[in-house]
Amino acid sequence: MTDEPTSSRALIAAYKACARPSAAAEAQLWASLAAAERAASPRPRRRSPSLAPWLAVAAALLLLAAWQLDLAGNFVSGHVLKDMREQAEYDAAGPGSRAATARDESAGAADDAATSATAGAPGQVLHPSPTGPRPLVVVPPRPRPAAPKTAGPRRGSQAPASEREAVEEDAAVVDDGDRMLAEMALLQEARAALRAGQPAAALDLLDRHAASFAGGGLAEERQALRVQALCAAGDPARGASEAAAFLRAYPRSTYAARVADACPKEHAQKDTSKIP
Amino acid sequence: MSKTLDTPLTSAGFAAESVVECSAPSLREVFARHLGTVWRIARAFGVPADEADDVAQEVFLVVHRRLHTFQPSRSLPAWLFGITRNVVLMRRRAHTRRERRLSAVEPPPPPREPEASLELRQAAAFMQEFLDGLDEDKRLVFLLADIEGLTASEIAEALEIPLGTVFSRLRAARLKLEQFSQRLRARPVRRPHDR
Repeated sequence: MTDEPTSSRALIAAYKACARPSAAAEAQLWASLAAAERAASPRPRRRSPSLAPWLAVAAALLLLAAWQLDLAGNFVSGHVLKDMREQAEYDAAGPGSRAATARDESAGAADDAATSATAGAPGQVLHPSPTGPRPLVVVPPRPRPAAPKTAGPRRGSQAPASEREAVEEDAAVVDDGDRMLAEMALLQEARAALRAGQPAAALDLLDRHAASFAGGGLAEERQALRVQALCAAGDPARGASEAAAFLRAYPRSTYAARVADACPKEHAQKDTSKIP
Repeated sequence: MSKTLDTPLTSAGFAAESVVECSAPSLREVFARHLGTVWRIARAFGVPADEADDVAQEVFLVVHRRLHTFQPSRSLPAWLFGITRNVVLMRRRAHTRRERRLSAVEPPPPPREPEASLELRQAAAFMQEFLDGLDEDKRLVFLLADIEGLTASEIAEALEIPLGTVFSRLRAARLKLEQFSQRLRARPVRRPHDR
């Protein structure tokens, strides 16, 4: 290196050696990071796991008591798990048949209750506070309407409410200082979904981002991702029109080339920036 | 992360090997191994040297909070690149709020690498001069490939561009570096800007 500090290899080696934080700065950075890690570490243990296990235990105790008092059939099906209408129909079926099937149903109901309790009380999921330990996790893996698992329990009529909840939650979870980082984190989630081949989920997250951070500072990035997601979702027409709008709004954007390439049919030019 | 990309520009040489972390790294590991990378990426995005420490700090705070979402099958440098880019974009938009937070409170940092020889620092400054002269697209590809040692596929993932674009930008940047290097040899010795 000392002989010929101008060769390409020597320049690269020298740059790699020198272009980095100084040792003092590195120590300072790690110290602040370690402090943040220490400050954050008690939170997850305190918050997230606390509710679900207690609810599960409480439900299990209730079921056990009801079972032992031979009230399981009425209590469980009438007040906890089954709908009131089902109970009325059941009662209307007549005392004979009820007597015959009471034990079976209560056993089934108890099984249902036990599974729901041990599965972390699915009813709680309707209040999506569950989230994770970290305050920045603004996008818990909450099932969206398209998700097959929870499509059943989530009724169609609840969709707007849950959407509102999601938006409010995004805004609520974020305290002031973390707002920008949270905005960014939500975009990261959308990008991850896009990379994972889930453009619909990415679009959903981007819609949430637009609603939660309408006045945020990452609209450019969001719109760029949106173009990519639209094209990936098989909607090149909208993708192309939004791409054109993006390029008009942000002609010098870092993402311009990527946005222009997102829908290949509409934008035949490959990469205008690769000038030799 | 032992592989480099200073092999000839052939597709086999580039994409053949891919580095896959088998388990999620700890924050300490990520910090120790990639602090310099994050810092240099920030510089490649045009962040001045005296603010790059701040950017690195913010990046690793995000890493701290988001590390549990990192999928070990993905490229860690590419993931870090995405975070760094977002932090830089965020700062560009909100720079009035955060600008010079550390430098306002604390004395300027000590001179970097005082133990490094003058020649080494001079060569590093030349390299910075070269990078500053590249357009951002080529600068980023060159940095990730020839300085940070990412594979072409990792770069394509990080920058979200096709592999062919990675190759063409890298080829162009290398050519420019060669020309720059030749000009350096031809011109009389001078003291470059110290960052």
